[in-house]
Amino acid sequence: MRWYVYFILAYIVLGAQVAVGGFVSVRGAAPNLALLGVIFIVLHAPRDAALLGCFAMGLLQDLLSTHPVGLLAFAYGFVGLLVRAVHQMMHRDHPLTHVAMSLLGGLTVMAIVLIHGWWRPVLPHTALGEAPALATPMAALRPSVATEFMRVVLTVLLSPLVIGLLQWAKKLFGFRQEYRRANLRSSH
Amino acid sequence: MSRLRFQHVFAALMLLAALSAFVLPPRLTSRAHPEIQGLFAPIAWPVRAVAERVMARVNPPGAADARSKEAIFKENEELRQVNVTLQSELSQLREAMNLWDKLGSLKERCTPFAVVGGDAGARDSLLLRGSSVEGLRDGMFVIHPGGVVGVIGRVGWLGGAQTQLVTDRNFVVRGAFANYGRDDAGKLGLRRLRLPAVLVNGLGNGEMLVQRVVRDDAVQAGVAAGTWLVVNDPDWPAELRDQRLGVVVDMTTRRDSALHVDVRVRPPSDLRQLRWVMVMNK
Repeated sequence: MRWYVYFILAYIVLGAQVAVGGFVSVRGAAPNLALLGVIFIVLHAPRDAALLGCFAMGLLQDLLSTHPVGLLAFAYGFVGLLVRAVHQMMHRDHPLTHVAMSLLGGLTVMAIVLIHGWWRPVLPHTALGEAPALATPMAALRPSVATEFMRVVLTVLLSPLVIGLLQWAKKLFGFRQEYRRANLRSSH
Repeated sequence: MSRLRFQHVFAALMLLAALSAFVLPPRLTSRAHPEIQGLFAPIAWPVRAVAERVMARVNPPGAADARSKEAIFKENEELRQVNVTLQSELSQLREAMNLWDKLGSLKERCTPFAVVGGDAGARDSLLLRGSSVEGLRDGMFVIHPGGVVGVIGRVGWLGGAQTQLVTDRNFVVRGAFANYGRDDAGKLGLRRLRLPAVLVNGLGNGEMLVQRVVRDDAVQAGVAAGTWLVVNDPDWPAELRDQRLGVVVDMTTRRDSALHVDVRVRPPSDLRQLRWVMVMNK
C-alpha cells in the first residue's frame, strides 16, 4: 500500500469529520467517516498494512477529539482484526459487504466506547480542572447508548456511498493482490 | 518485517492504546498529546463553510416556528409598541443593564478567533484557528454575543486550540437562574431568582443539566421554560459573572425523588455550529 496516499485519505476524511460534525447530526450523533475509511483499508490492503493503517487512523482521530488518547486507536485496531477475520468469505467490492462490515465495525466501536464510558466515566471538572467540592457527590454522565447507536446507523447508511467513492480511487493506493483461500464450493 | 515480528509490534501497540485509554489517568496522557488540530484547518475550514451554507438553505433559522400567522402578526404589533418605548429609554438602559456594561468591558479584553471545526469524536468541543504564538493559553475563557462558549483545553504551537464547550459531558460550572425583564419598579435588567447557586453539568448533544433542584423552590422562584441560566462561579473571572449559559428547556421530576427535578438547559444557539468566537486573552 502506498502510505502517502493513505495519509492523504486520512487527512481528507478526518478534516471532513471535524468540519461537518456539528452540522450533520441526528440526536447529537454524527456519522463516523473515519471508520468508513478504516473499513475500506482493511478490505483491500494486505494484512500488516491494514492493521497498522486502522490503528493510525484511530490515533489521529484521538488527537483531534477530547477522547482519551488510545481509545479509538484501540477500537479501530480491534475492528481491523475482526474484519480481517471474516472478509475472506465476502466479495470485497460489493456494497452489501461494505454495509455489513460498517455495521460490524460500528457496533464494535460503539461497544468499546460504551464500555470505556462505564469503566472510566468522565468525571466533571471546573474551569480550573478540579473536581467540584460538593456535599452530595455528583453522578458522572456516561455516553448515551441511543446516541452511539444512531451514530452507527448514520455511518452504515453512508457506507455504500463513501466506500463506493473510495473504490474508484482504489488503484491510487497500489494495493497488492494477496493470496486468498480458494472457495471450496467452486472447485467442485 | 516478518509476520511474527509484526504481530508482536501490533500487539504491543494495542496494549499501549488500551493502557492509555482504560488505565492511565488523563492528566498523564494529555501531557504527551501533540496538538495537530491546526494542520487540518485547510480542509476543515472550507468544508465547514459549505456545510453551513447547505444547512442555511435546508434548515434556515426560524423555520421551526409552528405558530399561526395571526399569532405572529399580533406579536409583531406588540413588539413594535415595545420597540418605540425602548428607543426612548436607550441611554438610561445602558446604565441600568449590568450585563451590557460588562459586555462592553469584555470586548476590550477579547480577541475574535475563527472556528475551524468541531470534535472528531463524540464530545462537544470546537477547534479554533489560533495558537500559543497568537497568545492563546490553556484555561482561557471563550464567549460569543449570545453568552459563554467554553474554556480552551489544549493549545498547540502548530496551530489549533481545542475549546471544551459548556455543553460537554465533562464540563461543570456554578450558575444561577435569572430572568431578564422589568422589576416591580419598572427598571429593566437581569434579576436573579431566589434560589441557591446550582451546579450546571454539560450533558452533551448541545445541552446542559442542573440536577436535583427542589421542585417547590424552583416553581416558587419562577423557574420555567425560557428562564435564563447565568454564570455564578467564584472560580471564573468577575467580568463573566451573569453571562448567559443558556435558557431553561424543561424540568423533569427525578425517578428517585419526587420532590426534586432535573432542569435541562440549552444555549441560545448551537455552540457546535459557531463560526467565530471571542477569547478572553487580555
